[in-house]
Amino acid sequence: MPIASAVLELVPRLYRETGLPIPAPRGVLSGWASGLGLPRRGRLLLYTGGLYQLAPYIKAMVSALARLEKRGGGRLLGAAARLGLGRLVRPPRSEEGYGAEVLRSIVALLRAAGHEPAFLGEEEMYSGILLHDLGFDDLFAEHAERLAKLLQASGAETIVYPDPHTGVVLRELLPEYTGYEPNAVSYLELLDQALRDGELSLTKRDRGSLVIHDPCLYARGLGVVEQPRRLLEAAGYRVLEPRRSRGATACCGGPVAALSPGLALAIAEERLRELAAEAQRVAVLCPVCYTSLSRAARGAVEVRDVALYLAEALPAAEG
Amino acid sequence: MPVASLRALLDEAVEEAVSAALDPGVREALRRASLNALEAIPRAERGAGGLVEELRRRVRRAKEEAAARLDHYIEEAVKSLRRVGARPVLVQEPREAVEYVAGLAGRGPVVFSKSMTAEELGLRRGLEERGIEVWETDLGELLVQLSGGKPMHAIAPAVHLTREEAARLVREGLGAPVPEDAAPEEIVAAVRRFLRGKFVHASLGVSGANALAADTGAIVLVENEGNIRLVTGLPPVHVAVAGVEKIVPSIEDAFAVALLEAINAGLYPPTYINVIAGPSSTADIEHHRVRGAHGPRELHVLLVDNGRREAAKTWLRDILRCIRCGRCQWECPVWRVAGNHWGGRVYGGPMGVLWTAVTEGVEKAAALAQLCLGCRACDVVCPMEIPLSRTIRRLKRLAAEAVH
Repeated sequence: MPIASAVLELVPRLYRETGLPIPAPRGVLSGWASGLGLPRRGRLLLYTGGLYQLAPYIKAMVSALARLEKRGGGRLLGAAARLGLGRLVRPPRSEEGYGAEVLRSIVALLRAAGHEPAFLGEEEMYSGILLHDLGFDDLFAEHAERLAKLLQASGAETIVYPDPHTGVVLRELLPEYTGYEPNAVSYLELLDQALRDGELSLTKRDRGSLVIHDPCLYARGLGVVEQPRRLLEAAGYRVLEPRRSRGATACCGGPVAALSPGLALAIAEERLRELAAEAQRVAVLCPVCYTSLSRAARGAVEVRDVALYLAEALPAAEG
Repeated sequence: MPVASLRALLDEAVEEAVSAALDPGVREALRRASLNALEAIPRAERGAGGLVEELRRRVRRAKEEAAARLDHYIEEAVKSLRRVGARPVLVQEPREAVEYVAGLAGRGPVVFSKSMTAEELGLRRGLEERGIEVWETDLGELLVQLSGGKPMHAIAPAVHLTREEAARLVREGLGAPVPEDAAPEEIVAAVRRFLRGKFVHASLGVSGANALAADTGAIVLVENEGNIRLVTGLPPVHVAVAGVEKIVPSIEDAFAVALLEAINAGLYPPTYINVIAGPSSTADIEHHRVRGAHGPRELHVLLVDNGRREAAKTWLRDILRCIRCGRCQWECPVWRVAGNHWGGRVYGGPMGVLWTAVTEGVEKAAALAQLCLGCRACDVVCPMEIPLSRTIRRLKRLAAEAVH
């Protein structure tokens, strides 16, 4: 029973009510930073776009939708939406902290590279990417205007982003929709530069093999391809390449997971098959890839974010 | 666009794609085929060497030029076809084509070589419904005909069928003694034996066209099976079906299209390239030209519009550059699990969503577009540099606007 049309109606409604495209608790975008002591303002702003924080809720939502797609379909989704999806969509405790863990690792890595990023705290805004990707251009255009104002008002010289979707919003979509062209870089680019300048030291020891899964938008949009490889190798990982990699990488299926969890899972299974042919450990660079591939892996293959693998090689972690 | 119909179209599109993706047989067949394609195409490209870039550039330029002045080139093509003794007919929509060809078919049999445009027109089914005996002669397309399904890939239509299924279809559909565990060679031999008689006795042969040269009226067709030579050479009447986007300015351009198609099909050099400029003729007696020697005495060319001329005036124009090589399909993660079940009646995958917009309307295509991942894999491999994912996203907007 398809749920696609019901989801397509639901997303803009949820967004209008909460500012987020899926059900998630209040404060989800800022809670991860508590206790880190990040300044509100600074030369370098870490703008998260919200995708890492939402990843566990996206995964839980997709699982719930998968059950509806198997039986019930869109009508049942409509009924569930009226009751409040928040109660139905709750990630397991073991996964709830995934996004926070990755973002905190990113901060630790940036600090080790000599960068002290600022963070907007409760003002942090969702990037709006799903609105754009589903074709809700009017909603996205409004959202982009607000986001551009927020980022401009931050006074930061450089904006650092943690994932490719947020990168596309900053580098491609804000200029297209608002005319604002922030100076935006991936945290992996910053780390890679620091590594080459000798300002970041990772403890290099044999950490075994892993296979890298390039996100489509890094590989075919933002040019973040060699940086994560150099960083992983500097930490002592042997980086293996799947059959489709770099500019020819294959998508994880995540972008259609809301409209058809079944189709998305089939795509993720095909990709995981290519990855697992090389190694039983997969490094992902994007929270959407994480939700898709970990869903397909069902625990049989380790799927973790590159920031978590890299953070293991920080001298403090090694200490 | 009314919300209710868009909702229904979207849910139908998902239902069809997801059922295919959950079918382990389809998944396995598509997986094998796309891995083979991933090896064969680069091999063919290496074989053609520096020619690849030259062909891409030439064909891109020719197609851009033709799409920008489509009506002009249609007119030129019509004049050139008449000059070589062919009979051009501009058809606006499928029904006209079916009626025209039925009028030429007599009692048949009619033999078809594979044509996606004929499939788009529903030509084979239209003739069958009028009681005319029709046979597809491309092996893959024949299997599709016997299975009653739809072609799964522009070049490899039976890509979703395993050899066991192929053997069963040939045994049951043609009554040929093919064992269950037949090797591909045995299946091919049985089909060859069966179709020989059909070729010889056919009243009409229907082919497609890889390209049609506006300057000379020459039709160029590329193939490996040899069936196109027979379909276009043995019957007394030949009908070539060409979408108007197949028109290119010159005969050199038309050859370039054929070579590029061959490379993208993973076979270079192609086994056969056929050039057909008018019906067969001889002037060997007193230098008096007689139409109809060993080949057909009549050549009819259906120039198919079916939405193309309208599309040429809109943001859909880029897709008219498409040579339907199917490269985007082999790389598309959605197509690799769902095949052309992610598509319209005939065309599937990235290029298929846009061809569906042209030939079946933007509503249907907008629903299909919602299943695009936006991963840009198609953009990278398209030899015509069509901005596929960007154009598909534009269709998504139509769907979103309708429900919003």
